Amino acid sequence: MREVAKSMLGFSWAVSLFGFQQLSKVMTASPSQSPSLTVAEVEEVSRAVQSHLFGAAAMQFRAGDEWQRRLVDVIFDAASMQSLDPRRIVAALDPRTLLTDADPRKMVQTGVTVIRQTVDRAVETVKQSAAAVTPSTPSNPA
Amino acid sequence: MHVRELTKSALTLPWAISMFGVQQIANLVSAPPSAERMAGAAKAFDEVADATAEQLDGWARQTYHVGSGVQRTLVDLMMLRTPAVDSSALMRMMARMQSGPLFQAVMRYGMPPVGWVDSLLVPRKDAGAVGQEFANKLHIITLVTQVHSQLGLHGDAHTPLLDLVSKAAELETFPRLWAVEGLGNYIGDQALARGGPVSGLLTDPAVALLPPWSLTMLHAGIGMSFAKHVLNRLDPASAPDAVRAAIEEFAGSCHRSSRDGYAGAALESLGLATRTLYPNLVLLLDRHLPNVAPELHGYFWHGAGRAMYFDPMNMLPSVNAPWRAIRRLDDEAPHDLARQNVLSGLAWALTVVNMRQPIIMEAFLRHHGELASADAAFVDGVTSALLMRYDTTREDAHIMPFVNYVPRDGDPALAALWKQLITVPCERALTDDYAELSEGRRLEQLFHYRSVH
Repeated sequence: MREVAKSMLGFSWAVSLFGFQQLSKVMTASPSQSPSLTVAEVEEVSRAVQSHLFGAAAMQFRAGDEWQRRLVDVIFDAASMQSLDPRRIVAALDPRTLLTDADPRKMVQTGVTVIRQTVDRAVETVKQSAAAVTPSTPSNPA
Repeated sequence: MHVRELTKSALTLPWAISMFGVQQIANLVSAPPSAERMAGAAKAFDEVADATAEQLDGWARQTYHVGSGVQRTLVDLMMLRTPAVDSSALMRMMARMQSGPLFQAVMRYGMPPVGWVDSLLVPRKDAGAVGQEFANKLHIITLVTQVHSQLGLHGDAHTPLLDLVSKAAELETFPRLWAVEGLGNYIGDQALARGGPVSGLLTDPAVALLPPWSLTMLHAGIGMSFAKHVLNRLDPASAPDAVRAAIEEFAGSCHRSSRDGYAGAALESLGLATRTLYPNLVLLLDRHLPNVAPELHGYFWHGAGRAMYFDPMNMLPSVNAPWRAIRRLDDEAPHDLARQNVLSGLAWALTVVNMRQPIIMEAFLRHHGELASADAAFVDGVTSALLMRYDTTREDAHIMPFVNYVPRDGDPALAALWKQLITVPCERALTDDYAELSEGRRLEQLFHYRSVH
């Protein structure tokens, strides 16, 4: 548990610093800092995270990612006046493909299961700790 | 186009991290608990953290390493465990950070108050001496880490070595010593960065006019650079062939770039670099040195002794008087050759660092006089350090006052000990040994234990 705690904190620390670094790079963009380099760095970290996803989580990630990418394309196209075809916009924003692949019922179910198991583990740990500190009943000398 | 791609990537990352977090938590809390699953989750978090840290640069990378080390220590302490500190990684991290503003600020403003508070734990009789010794060590760390800015050394500049040495000669005698060593390290790094085998750094006709006073420390500096270069490739699990190749490469680089009678000054740096930056490799190298480069063995342990003196774990006033490094002598030195050279190296560093304040050596003799008089290696270290100082900065006003110092303690036994271990051997070294070593082109002998005195 100790090592997991250290690894989780290390992971959060690395990701936070990375986010802060990328943000400062974007905000203070200089001619020497190529935007494609920033994209490549973010993609590299994303790939590392994705390599650890499997099963339902991997599928849900892919569905969500594809949908957000379509959404970004539509917004940028609209903003740059490249495409104002409402049918294309509606098709891109259609959440049905997302809902089919990601299956919200499964997502909710997973979430509920995680919460239930977390509570179970917490209760179990508290019970074990309480048992450890409670003095045992003295045996009857008779 | 780039902004669009950046937006997509920036949205993908938090989404991936969220899914990753949920998956790992689900994995961790699912019944029944298993150590294997815990280890798997820790490994996954570590791998992603490492991949992320790879993309950090500059201050962010430094901050990550510092914060990561601190949080690991805190978790250990919270769970009432002794923190698992990898001193090698810690030392290398410090070495990487040493020119950064954070490190400089800590050295300049953070450490002095820490040392002062810590010195309150020392008996009053020793407090002044060990407090001063702590300040001297901090001063040297500052001098060593500021060499680049002091001499205007930049990777892209091509100032001739002779000009840089002339610039160093303008410094006061004490900073000059460390500046010249830093200069040697700098030209070594530059040569290694160019690629290919390094040779002739201090023997090339272009540097034939280097002043003799600069030679020992320039050799020590190039040795440090070569040592860091080869050690970087090793770890405690390295194959014997890799260790042997690293030692051969180091010795070869030193010999090819050193003048006659100075190679030992460069070779000694392997021990200094190993014990400072890769303490987990000391015994590994010790096993291979007798077969690969037997001439290097004594120098290696002498350098390790110098490094022990500067070990951050031996730095605070409260771990000296008695000196912790002396207590650890038998644990660290696995055989006689190592022990004699480590003691000589320790005495060497103690003398060089504190020559300007003899009260520190006085306090040392008060605690370790018996050991110092029983083992010739102590006198060897003191006299070698004095001769090195005489060779490099003979105009220094502190040399003779140190030799002829009379302890303030008022204890006649201590005064006699000073005369026996410092005054008499140092006077003899200055009048006899120096001329012999200098004229015989054997000044490298000052960098390992010489059994004849």
